[in-house]
Amino acid sequence: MMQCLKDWDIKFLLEINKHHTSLLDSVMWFASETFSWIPFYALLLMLIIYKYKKQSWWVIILIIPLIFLSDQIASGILKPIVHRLRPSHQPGLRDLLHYVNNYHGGTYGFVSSHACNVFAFATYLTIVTEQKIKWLPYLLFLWAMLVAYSRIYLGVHYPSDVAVPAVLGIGLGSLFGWIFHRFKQKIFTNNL
Amino acid sequence: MDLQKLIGYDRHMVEWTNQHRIKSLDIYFIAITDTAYVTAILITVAVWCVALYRTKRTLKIKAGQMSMALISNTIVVTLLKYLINRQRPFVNDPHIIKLTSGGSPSFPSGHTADAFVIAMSFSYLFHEKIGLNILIWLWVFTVAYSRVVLGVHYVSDVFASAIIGSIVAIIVNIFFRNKYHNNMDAL
Repeated sequence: MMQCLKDWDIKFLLEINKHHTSLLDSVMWFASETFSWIPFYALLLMLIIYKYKKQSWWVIILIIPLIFLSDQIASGILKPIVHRLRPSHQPGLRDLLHYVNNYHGGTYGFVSSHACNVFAFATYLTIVTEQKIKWLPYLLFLWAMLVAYSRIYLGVHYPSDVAVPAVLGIGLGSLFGWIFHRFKQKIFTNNL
Repeated sequence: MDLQKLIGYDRHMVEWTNQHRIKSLDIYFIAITDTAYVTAILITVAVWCVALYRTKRTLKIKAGQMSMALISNTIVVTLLKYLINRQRPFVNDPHIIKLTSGGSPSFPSGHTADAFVIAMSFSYLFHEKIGLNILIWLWVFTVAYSRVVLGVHYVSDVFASAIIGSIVAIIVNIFFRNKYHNNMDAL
């Protein structure tokens, strides 16, 4: 059973990694970079403040512990405990992959903190803004899937390295969404 | 004084600054230079955020003015760069070490112009915020200096940028000046 899953994992990874063009290379490189999404975050920030005005700080401030926690769980706890080598460091597999800008990532790859962060962020904002910004989830989850896909495309993560933190991130985002609604009424007595 | 002599001075100034730099500070100047454009945008975004948070109409127009100034400045500078098409200092002078990215033509310096246009607009619109103004102007001069010390711009590029950025800010301000009224937020 385990062996079968592992085989599928490698098969999918090779299949995704195999289909590369120079345009996709630069798109996926862009998607994986932390700083390239700053304009996107800035627009989101402005959108949230525009929609929530004086109450926006409560939406925004919860993002800090959310990202901190998801990043720490993925990179600080799970990666060193599970000790699963990245495909780019796996002997026998690393020479079969196509890399962009010679980027190989750190040694261990389970789980991807990129995927965990983006899915936690997307889920949290979806839950929080469900009443006021109805179109936002489509954009957020498309973005999250693009970032997650880019990790596999670049050959630094197995599909399972990305799928597990996606579930984890959705759970974490839901938890913070619950926290948001739980304390909202107490903070803003005059309701939304 | 003839032009050739001036160009010579221009080059020697970059060469001297580049060679006599404090090497341990390089990483800070590179960081300042690489984030200059993002910082300029983030200052504008910050003004937008405050404006939308406090739902003040005056502030929204001010944020709009800063965005307009930044956009116009980018257009003006890009046009000038490709019209004049001056080579970067490190291209002809092997003594100058290029320490950051610089691919487009040299004249004028885009980073410096962005910094100046934002700082000038900010000073126009928020002259009562003295602390913030000091911070922003410190950042502006660091950006301007970093372009020369990292060997990617002549001193004349940077000076011209300071003037171009300021002029763009002043012109945009003329267009927006009559949009502000007293008691606009009284409603």
